[in-house]
Amino acid sequence: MEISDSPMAIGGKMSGRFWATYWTAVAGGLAGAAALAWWYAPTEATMGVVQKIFYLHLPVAINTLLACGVVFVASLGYLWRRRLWWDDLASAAGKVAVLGASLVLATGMMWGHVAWGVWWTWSPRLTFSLVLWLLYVVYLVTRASVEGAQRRALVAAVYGVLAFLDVPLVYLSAKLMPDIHPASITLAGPMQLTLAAWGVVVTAALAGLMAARFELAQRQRKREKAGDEGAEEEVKLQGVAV
Amino acid sequence: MSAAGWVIAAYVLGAAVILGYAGKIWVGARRLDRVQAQRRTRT
Repeated sequence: MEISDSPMAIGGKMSGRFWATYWTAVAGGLAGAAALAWWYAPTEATMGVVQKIFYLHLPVAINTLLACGVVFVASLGYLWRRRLWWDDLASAAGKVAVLGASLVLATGMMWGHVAWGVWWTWSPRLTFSLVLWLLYVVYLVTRASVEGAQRRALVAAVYGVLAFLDVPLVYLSAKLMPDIHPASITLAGPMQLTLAAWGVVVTAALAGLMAARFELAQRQRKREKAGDEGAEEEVKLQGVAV
Repeated sequence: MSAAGWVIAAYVLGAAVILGYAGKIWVGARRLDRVQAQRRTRT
């Protein structure tokens, strides 16, 4: 059979075309959402133009907490079923959680620099957010440092369940404790529509990243299962492990 | 930098991080295709 006719090769090509189209649409969506924020949404009266960072900051923050939730559920799934499918899902979600938390911290610091006059302050919301970022960075470092698929999955699953304990603290901190970070913001109609557009695009982007990373991990896993010994090592050498 | 400059910087950073990681995964998947094709050719 010709290589190009094999189901795997056809699947890879289809997957490649799908994701190329998907990410082109996401890029267009991000540009459209930025245009809405810039030209359609009115400038907020108290904070001024810098409030427009909020349209990116909030959806990324919500999706980051959701990604942490996926790590939690997938970790429980692995502990219950001991199937590596759950571990691949937890790993993909953990990477998206770190990426999202990094973006939340960076955009929050830019906002704080202009709105509060400081890059950082040890308020409860900011502190618990930094702890969240550290917890999930350590999650990825832990995964990379444990040898053996099942052992790695077990250690990561226990850690993934425990790390989730910080998520309610991040969410509730600004609501229950005095905090410089706003607990809620009242938005005018055009602002709500702009935020909704950003919410759709950012959710599609981060869910897409999780799905694409999970799909890649599954393909690598299938190759190993098919008796392709040394495939993972070869793939890592060629820079496929992301 | 002005407030507007920071907004643009945040948007560019957000798009770069998201699309950059998407690109990294995409390239990884295409490399996996190539590795698979090479191994099938050898066998």
